[in-house]
Amino acid sequence: MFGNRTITPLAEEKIQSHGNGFIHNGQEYIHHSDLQEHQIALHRLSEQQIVFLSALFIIICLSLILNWHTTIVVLVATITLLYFADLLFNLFLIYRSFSRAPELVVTPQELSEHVHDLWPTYTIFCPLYNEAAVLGQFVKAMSAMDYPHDRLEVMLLLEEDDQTTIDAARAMKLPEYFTIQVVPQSSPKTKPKAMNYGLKKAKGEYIVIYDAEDIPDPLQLKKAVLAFAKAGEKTVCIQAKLNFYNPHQNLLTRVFTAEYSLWFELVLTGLQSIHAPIPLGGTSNHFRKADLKKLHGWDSFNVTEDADLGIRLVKQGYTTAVMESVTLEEANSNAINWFWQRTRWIKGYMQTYFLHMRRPGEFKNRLKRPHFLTFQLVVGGKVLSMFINPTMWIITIGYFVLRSILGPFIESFFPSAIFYMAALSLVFGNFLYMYYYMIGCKKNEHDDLVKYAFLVPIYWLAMSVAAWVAFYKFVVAPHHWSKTKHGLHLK
Amino acid sequence: MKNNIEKFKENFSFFAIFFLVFLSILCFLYFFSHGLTVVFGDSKGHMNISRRVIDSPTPGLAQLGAYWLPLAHLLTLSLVWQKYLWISGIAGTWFNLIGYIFTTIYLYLLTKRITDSKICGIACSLVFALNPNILFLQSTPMTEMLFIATTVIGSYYFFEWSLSKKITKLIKAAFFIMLASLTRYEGWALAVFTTGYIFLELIFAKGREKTKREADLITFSAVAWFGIILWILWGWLLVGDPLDFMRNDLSAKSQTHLYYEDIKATGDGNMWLALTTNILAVYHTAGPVVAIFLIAGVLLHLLKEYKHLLEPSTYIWFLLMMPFVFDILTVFSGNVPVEVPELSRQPPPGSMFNVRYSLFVLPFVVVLLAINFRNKFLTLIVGAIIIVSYFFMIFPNPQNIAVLNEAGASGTPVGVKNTINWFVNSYDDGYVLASTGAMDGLMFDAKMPLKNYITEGAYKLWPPALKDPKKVVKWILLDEGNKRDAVNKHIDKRKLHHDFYVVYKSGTFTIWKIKAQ
Repeated sequence: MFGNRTITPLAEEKIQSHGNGFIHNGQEYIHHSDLQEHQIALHRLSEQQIVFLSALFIIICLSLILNWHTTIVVLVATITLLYFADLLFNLFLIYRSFSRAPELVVTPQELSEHVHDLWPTYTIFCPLYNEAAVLGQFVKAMSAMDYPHDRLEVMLLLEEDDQTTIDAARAMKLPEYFTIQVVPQSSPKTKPKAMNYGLKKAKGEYIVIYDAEDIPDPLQLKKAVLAFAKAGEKTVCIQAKLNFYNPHQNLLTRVFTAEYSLWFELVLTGLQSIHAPIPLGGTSNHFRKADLKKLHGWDSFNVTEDADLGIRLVKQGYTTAVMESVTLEEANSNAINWFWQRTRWIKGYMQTYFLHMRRPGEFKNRLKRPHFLTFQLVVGGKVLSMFINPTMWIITIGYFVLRSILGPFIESFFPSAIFYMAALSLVFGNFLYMYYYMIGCKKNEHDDLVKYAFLVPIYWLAMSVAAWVAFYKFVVAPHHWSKTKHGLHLK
Repeated sequence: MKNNIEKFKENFSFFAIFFLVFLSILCFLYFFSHGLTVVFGDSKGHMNISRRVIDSPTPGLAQLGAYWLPLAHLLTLSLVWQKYLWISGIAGTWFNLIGYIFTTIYLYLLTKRITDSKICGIACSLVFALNPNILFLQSTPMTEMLFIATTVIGSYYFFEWSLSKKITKLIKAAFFIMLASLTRYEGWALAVFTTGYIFLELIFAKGREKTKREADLITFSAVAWFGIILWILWGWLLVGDPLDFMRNDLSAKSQTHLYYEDIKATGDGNMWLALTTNILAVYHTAGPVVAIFLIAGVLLHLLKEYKHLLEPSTYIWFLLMMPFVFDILTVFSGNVPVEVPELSRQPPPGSMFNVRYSLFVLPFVVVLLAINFRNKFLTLIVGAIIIVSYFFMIFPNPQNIAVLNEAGASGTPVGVKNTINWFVNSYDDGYVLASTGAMDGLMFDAKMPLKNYITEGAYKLWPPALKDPKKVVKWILLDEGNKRDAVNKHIDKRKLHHDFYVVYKSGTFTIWKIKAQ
């Protein structure tokens, strides 16, 4: 974390032959992107952040030594305010989601009225790694896309060291609009690096990313083209909604589906309605290639490059819109697999948070809206609450179970105003968050999953454990991409 | 001329709301200027409960207590910090004015939807809006108007949901029914009825619809019952008894037993008397036409729908009747008495008690008016007759309305006013030990800071003050003739006589002051 921070650009010839990159600490990195050093998550923290966080840590320690009780009261008050703000913000988002219905909707009539010859060229990226098992399903899903084949390019982005998938892809009789791009072996070995590589090769005017296990709405590409036209120039990304095709596989997939329903049906649409930064969903993000190039593609060092890109584009004055079209994915059905996927997501959120807090002024430079605050709540607050939740739950349970012994001691950390705010956040906050899952399921027509929202507290607990592991991983292996296994539903 | 009519139609909503706001404020000003805003003993209790949250020897939300439901007190809290708004009752009335306006609007929307006629909607909603007892209740810091408002709005969305099955309607219905359940216990009957209704729809549903109704049941119940569960938990947390609201000394049942002593309240244990008492109460608060129409309307509706008695669509209309049914049952079970002059066995003869609860049935009558006549003309005629009958309630004397009379009966007698004056003039300093069960009205009328009083709610100070008063208080208010006086019930009289002496006496009421050291 505190090592040598200087990077040396690669020689021009090397860039020409291998792609854009640099050398850091003797290690060569080829990330195929023009992003500047301050825009990538190579370093966990900037130097200023290290100084700031160290100073904060020292101040808290000193305060605890000098007056531990008051220090804890201040910390509790700060956390409570954060929870309370988050409670109000989420309530507002859900309200907006219902009252505005901000999703872009493309009607069948609009689709039929569009002149056939005017559909632009489209490139579909599909980064694959050790995913030969789902290749067949993906080819079938892509073949079902309702888009002129002469204007379509499906690009399979395969890793050089994944010979099994390369062989499987080459052995398949792929339609002529499929291309195979083998990404040369280099560090970091991540999905965004593969996509940056693909971006250089893509021929399409529009670009979308699908994961190998995705089954998109066959009309999604056409809808995206028309949605871009409706949304205006400032909208550089259209996010399709994600849902699962195996929600009933087991208990985990049911709760996972409920979570996705909440995120895509209510939270993202609420965020869109206020033009807030939207952490993108990893797949089914549609772009105009020119815009994507202007944004310099993805951060190859960020393990949630989608979330990072969603924030970056807002900082540059652009917006993301959610479109009424669904891509079906595979819900993670294995608890261990889910845990490591979640760990990676949370680690990526940490990377994204610290990366964009290096220059917080950029949030207000280009837009008048208070995106700095929404970023704090959507990305920072979301992660922080995962760390703190277990502590608050233990305090609550301790308070009620051992009230006669611990009651006055715990109460002493909560001055009246803070106590009421904390009680409101605890009671209404937890209830409302659980309730949002129910509404999300209802809105998504997963009526049979509504009852599983009662299991969400256990899910939150698992997320908190994943958050702490993610923190450890953030320190020891920030760029390691913990690959999620797909195709478990096929077994 | 035609242009003007068109303009009026275009701006109807504006004129209608303006009229309602004007009427609401005008009536409030009338009752306020006649000193009739805070006349109910209970209204003083409501004002004091809110005020104690910020003005008490032990301030905090615990002062809301665990007996009276909290929503009205929480709303009152927004203004009660200002002394004038507390003493005048305005802090506890403002939301009733808003509630009155919204109830009328939602009744209009509901009946317009049923009859598909704007004019019928107007006539039906005016049956509610012009009732003199309603206009009085909306001008007082009581909980009834807020309850009617939350009930009507919740019911409106529930009707809407029953037709459209839209999730947003269901959530809104659940939310307002939750608010109703946090305003009055009658709201709990609404929660039971509506949940039962969705459950029945679930039973009748088939295939995918069954799954949808199951999801609706969970989504609805989670919110509609949230307030009730919270309230029970609150009681458990605050006083260690989740059912404290049913069992404590201030509960309706305890108060009824204290008040009636050995005799039974009218209708206690007798369903026929409980029913007739409540219908007679409707007669007093809404007039004979409404009382007759209530009975005839229910029978007519059941006769019309007798072939579909098992179908949810038949009895969804009875949703708005639930608070009234609840009150009949509470009279029957002896929990809450209602007395009407025709049947009352409790002295003084001819007095009324709790007749205001009968007004809960008025929105139901309004809906009956809309659903029972296929002929809009009949709806208009019956509506007009009811509205005309209201004028006979207020003429020749505008103050001759039933709920106002009931409120007057529980108002402050002249003797007590003299006592209050004496106390206010003589009080110097120190804590005053007093029971809210017996002295809340006096404490309100005295207009002194409530932090001077140690009452049942001063949880840290109350037990030591009763055990050894001289160590904690300087004054004690006692009414040996009042069984609700917890100080009289629990204090050690020997210590009292040893350390305090009587400085004022009026009947069984005494004021004690600590002896000089």
